[in-house]
Amino acid sequence: MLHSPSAIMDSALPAARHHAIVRILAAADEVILGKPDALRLALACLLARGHLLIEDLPGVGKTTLAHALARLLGLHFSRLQFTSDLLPADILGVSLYERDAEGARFRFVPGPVFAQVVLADEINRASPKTQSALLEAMEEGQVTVDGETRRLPEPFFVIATQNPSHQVGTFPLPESQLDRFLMRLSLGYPDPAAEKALLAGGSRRDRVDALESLLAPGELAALQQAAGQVHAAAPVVDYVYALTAATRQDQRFRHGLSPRAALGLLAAARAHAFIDGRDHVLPEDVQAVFPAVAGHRLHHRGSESGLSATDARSLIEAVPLP
Amino acid sequence: MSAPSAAGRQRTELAWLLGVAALVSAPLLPALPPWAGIAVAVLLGGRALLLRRDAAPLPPWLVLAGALAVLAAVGLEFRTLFGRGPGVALLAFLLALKFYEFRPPPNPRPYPGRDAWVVILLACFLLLAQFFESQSLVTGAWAFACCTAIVVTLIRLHSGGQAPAPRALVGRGLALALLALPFMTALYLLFPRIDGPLWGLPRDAFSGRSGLSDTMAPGSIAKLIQSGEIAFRVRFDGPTPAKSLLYFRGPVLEAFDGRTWSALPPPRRATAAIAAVPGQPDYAYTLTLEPHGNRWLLALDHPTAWQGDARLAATGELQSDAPVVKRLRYEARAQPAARLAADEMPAMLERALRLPLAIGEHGNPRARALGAALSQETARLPTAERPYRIAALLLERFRNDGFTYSLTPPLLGANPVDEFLFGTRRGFCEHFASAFVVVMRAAGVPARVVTGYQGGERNPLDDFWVVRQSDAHAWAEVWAPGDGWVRMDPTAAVSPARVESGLADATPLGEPLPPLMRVDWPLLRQLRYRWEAAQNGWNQWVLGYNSQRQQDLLERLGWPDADWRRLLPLLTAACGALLALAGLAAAWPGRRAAPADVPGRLWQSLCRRLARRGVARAPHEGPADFARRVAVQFPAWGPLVDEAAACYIQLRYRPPEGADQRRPLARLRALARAALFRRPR
Repeated sequence: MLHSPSAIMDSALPAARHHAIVRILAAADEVILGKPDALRLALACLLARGHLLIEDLPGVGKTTLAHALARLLGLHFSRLQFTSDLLPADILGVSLYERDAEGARFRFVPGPVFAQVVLADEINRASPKTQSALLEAMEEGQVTVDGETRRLPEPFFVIATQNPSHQVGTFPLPESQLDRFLMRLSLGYPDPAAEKALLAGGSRRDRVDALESLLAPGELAALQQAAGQVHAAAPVVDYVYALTAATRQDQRFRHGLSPRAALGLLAAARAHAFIDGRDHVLPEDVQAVFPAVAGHRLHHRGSESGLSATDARSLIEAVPLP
Repeated sequence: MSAPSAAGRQRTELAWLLGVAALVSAPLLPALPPWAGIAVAVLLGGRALLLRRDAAPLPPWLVLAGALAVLAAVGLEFRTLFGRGPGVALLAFLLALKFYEFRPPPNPRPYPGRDAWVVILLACFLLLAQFFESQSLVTGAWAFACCTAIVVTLIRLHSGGQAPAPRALVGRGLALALLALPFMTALYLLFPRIDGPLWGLPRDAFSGRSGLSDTMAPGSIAKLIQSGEIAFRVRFDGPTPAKSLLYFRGPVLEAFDGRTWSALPPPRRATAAIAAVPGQPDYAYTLTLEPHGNRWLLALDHPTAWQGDARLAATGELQSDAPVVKRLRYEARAQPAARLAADEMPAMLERALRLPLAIGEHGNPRARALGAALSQETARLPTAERPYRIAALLLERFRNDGFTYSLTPPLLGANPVDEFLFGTRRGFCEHFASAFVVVMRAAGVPARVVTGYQGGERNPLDDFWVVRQSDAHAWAEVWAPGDGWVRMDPTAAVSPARVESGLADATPLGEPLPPLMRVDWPLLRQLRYRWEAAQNGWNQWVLGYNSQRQQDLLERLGWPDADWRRLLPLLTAACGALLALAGLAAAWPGRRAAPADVPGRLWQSLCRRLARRGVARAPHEGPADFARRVAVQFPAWGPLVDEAAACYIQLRYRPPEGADQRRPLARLRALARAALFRRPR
């Protein structure tokens, strides 16, 4: 068994669990054409119990991705289209006054946030007040309406999409709230072959609707737990710390990564290793998730622009492995 | 290995002690009487075999009986219990027998018990005994190895149940022994030297050495030259004489009984007159003589000046006051053309004319007749020329009458000279010299046999001439009025090669040669030169470091007139400084290394080596990524890097529990080495 790194990777996990992950990725890959890396990261984000922010132009398949993941994982899915006049109650739900034979009372009508996967489309088009209602729910895992606290379902996973902030009619998310998302991905245009296949194929919507759940209820929680137990050796922890420290010392950025971000980086690396079928984290896992985890948390000094892929690359290359 | 049982631990410790005893006794065994050597070896080996059975110690009365038996046997063998031989034998027996009453301490403690200490101390003592036999470089190295083994064993005995791996143990012991080297050097250089031995050595201390003797029978030199042992070494300060002039004079033999030549006691207090001839070259040299147990000092003919209290005997040989029992180094000058005893005492001349009487007046009649005939033939020549003329006629005879040089001449009977001269005509230098002198004497010319060494071999590495027993030689001296004793080498007449290039060239093909001369293989010769140069350096600088050299060294260091009163403070200061240095080095903060990250170091060195061969890993590149990239970009290195990365990941990133870490570590080490040497596949 000791003959190649690839052999090691396959050896460590119970085969059935890894098999489920392989099938999910394969099925998703058939719907979201030509984006295997983004799919992998999205799944890793979910397994690490993090929320995902997808920033891209309209029409590149953000919604499809979220929808497909929810269906494949057998999760209850709801979609929220954010607009500038959306109110917090539209998200969280309202209490209605009802009167019937037994008397009059308030009945709570849950809003769309009471779902396992919430797709928050174009989150930066809503007003900050509405945004923060959702972000609080994300953080707490519960909502308080009319003085009563209600738990959100488990697992609770928000996939928010946002348009690039320079577009008209957007309220950019403040940094504190961006920090609540474990990862930010951008899909980008598909490559030519994938795009041609997209054009030739039928409607995406129909395909997503045809997807079958590949996980039994409760199985996702087990996967998440297993992903959290992937072994991160001391050199890996050192490496995560070294990368984090490098962002703090780098003069190009306004702030370095927070300890929460460092924790997220390690959790995401664990999940990435888990998806690869390993029971241990390699520095390569940390490097694979680093751009997605750090991208929305680092901001260039004196400009609004975030971290580009090249910036992330140069950061990684500046830190030798411990 | 789990925690070993107390019995198992004792067994291991006993095995270590047995190993030390074996190491220390090994060089002594050949020197003991055969039965004793075998008995000690059997006792030690038998105890080692008993280790497996956890044998109980022998009852005390049995050990006592054994000891008494040994005492009796040693006493019978040596006829005494005092002196070097019996002392060493008894010590060796004591050490071996100690293991049979070895009683481990009742409750295991992390330090040696009393019996273990006795064994260790006895071993230390026996360690010194091997220097009685030999003080060569090899003995020194062996003693160092024994010391290290003793230190290692002490560490082992003090480490109780948690002994480090043998390799680590040996490493630590070696480090300690090396740490002691500076102190040893300081003590060696600075400890006050006493001339002469500290205590009187027993009479049997020096015996059984090979070399010339003061008698010569047919075959005695032929036997001697079978030995490749070194007789002495010479270094010329300045020009070197031609090889054909390298006659080193040893005992001069004047008395002949028809078969055996022997030395006569020289007249007391008489010395030979050596007159240097102005304008002729002379040579200065330093000679290091190996001990031979006799009084003569080898010297190049003819000595004109020499160092020390040697005396020039009436026969022209240098003699020391006492037998040469330790390596002796002296400087001398020689002038080959100098005249030896141009006006010799009549008594000496008379001795040089005597023909054997002991066997009977009629021994070797034909040789006498030949001498008489030669005398007749030259009767009319002036006396100063006669000896030369007779010698020339005789040498011509040797040259032309079918005489051959041979190391394996036929055996000779009752009249050896006659049989050789007129019968076999095959002989070795002693035959030629002997026959020549007999005929010369018969012709009325004073003549004698000189033994010594001729030639030698220059070691190009250190410029020393090495003269071996195989260079032993016998030649003749003839006295001519006015010229004194003149060297005549009849062997040279028959076989000029013997004198000009050496024995190996003079011996006919197919005859057995002394072992060292048999193969003339350049590599072997080079090795021999090297080894002998190293030994010579050891002799000159380590063994030859006496009080004179100590004074010289200290004077050169700006410390003149050092006697022991001034040496002791110096010695104390030097040792103190060394101790302080060692303490500082141990306390230096940088020396306390972090716990060794062995896999990381191995991986780094592997990557460095690969980078030197063009396959560089970026500093941030993880092992799996690197292996993948190498497989694509440098397929030749693919398998090696792939396996190394797998091992490294196993050691560094995988959960440690359960997995066997030793195999990947060994593999990674091997691969790191392979990256240094292997060609990519």
